[in-house]
Amino acid sequence: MYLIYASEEAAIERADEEGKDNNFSYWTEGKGTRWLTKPVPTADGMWALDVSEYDLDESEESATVDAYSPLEVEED
Amino acid sequence: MADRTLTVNGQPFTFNRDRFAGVRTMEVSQPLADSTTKIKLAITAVDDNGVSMAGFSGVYTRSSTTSSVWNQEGGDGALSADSINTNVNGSSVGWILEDSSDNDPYINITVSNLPVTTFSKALPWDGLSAFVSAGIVITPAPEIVTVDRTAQVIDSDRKGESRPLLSKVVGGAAAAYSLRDLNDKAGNNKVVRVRRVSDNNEREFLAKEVANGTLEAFANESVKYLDSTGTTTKNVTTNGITFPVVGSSDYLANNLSFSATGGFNNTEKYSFTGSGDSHGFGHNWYFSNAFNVNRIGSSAPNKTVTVEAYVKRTSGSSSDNLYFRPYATSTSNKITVTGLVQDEWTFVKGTLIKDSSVAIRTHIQIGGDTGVTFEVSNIKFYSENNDVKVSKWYDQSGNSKDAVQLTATNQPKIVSAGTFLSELLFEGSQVFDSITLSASAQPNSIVTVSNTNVASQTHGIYGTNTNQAGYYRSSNKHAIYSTGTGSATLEGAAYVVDRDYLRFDLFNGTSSVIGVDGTTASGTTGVDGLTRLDIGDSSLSGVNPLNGGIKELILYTSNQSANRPAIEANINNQYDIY
Repeated sequence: MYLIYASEEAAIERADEEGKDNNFSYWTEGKGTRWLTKPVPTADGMWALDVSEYDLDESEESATVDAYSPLEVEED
Repeated sequence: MADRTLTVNGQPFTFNRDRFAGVRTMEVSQPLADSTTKIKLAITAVDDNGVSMAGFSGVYTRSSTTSSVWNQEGGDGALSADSINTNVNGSSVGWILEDSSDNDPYINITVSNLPVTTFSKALPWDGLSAFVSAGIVITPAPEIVTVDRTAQVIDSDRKGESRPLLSKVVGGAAAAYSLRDLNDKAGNNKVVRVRRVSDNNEREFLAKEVANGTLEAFANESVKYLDSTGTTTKNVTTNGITFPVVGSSDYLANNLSFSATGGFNNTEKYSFTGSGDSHGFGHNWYFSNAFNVNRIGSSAPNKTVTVEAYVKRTSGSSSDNLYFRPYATSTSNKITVTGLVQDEWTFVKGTLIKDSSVAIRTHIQIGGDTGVTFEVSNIKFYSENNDVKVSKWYDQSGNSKDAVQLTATNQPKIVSAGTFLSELLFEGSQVFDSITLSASAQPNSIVTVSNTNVASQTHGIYGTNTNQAGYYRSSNKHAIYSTGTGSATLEGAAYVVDRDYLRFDLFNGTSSVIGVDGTTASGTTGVDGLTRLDIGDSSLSGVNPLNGGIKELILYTSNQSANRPAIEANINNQYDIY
């Protein structure tokens, strides 16, 4: 389950919020774990954030998608 | 040595005092104890349908001394503790013996009046008479002990304190990662910073603390991750993490209400009306995500949560029950509190198991029998056998190229369900990515100790720029690849899953080498140099993140072929790979 963001900054902002909610050490000690998940780029230039384990509000719940198109990879 | 005969109370006893050389095997049986991991079951039981379970007689083992799951050697029989119910008279453990292939046939055995409160303490021989009544006789399983009195040939340094340090065998690495201390025999250097999943507590560990059990003890501390005691708000915040209460909505027919006073010792209380045991999500209340994998860890099944609370029945009769149970589980995996005296606080304690359906069991529901009113206060959830993940793998080369992973879901595991793994376990989406190195043209040498859990797929051990990697290839062979002039895949020896390999990879154009357990293959790969390091994956197209473990990775920006035997000897002495 993903939320799609137009910019990496917006996605990071949401990831930061969840990281604070999880009390990760980056937010309490200034080092160590910062995020639960981190946004990844999509094939269409957007940013996908895996929010499967996030506490979402109602508007976020309605905006989630089940999948996104990742950047394509090729066999070596 | 000659036999000797002694006379005791008039009876002669002859002792065989022969000593032997070489290898001899003996069969011995140890008494059943907490440390027992193997037992023998003689089964005459039949299930409710009259089907005999005698075919499941045999030797059963468990994976660790804290596991309550026993699996038949060479068969499908499984004996497991399925429930622990606690009431004012003590605890009872419900065991299930079943055909694990399809859960049929099966029988239930209940052992009552036990002091145990956690599954990790549940031992089948604590209820021998109950098992005998069910048609199951439990005895110690004989163990085959091999005694080797062959004279040892010392052909290398001894393990431990006398072993040469790798840094003295060959120094000058550009980056070096291990769980052992490569520079200090006493192990006083930091090797990892870790995060305990249940409470996100992070701390650093020295190599000696990894080796002497301190890390594992950290994982096995009982972690209180939810405590409602004294909260003045309905939602509970513990260790900085808030668990919102869900209940008492139109959807939830339980009349849930909260008060900051009136509970045990006049602290908080949650009051509700039970809606029955058979109902699901909509008839109980819970703290949101308090049974989530983010709190419990992903190493299900057999993750244990201990529940404590003060509870009070305020209507109904003493036969009415209050329940704690994971959302959407069968009715067996729950804590049933019965025999409550009306309008008196009673302390209850029990355990719940996180089963394999980790994705949906995110809450512990609290409910009761239909129409009966209850109050609950001072609710505490403890995570027991915790997972620990690595947020930083310290570089031991002296170049401060620490491998850091800030994202929780991408961190490799070092302790799983309380058991130290002796490696960093990458499970398909973990990686230390983009460790920046000084650009270096070939030749470059990378030495690794790793394993893969997946056959016939391409999975990366490491990458050293955007198009260069060492990996397990879908051809079931070890491989390296680099772009640049002559770009090609160079394959080495074949691999099998779940086995450590010591690799020596040399990127050196037409004179490249891939060495596996001391055996090398030479050939050509591209000439591009390295610029960075990824551990557990690479950015090379078509290479997937590793599904396996890494124990050690040492990178040299030079040709270490001349030192290869010494490096391999040192590492193999440490890990006994081949």
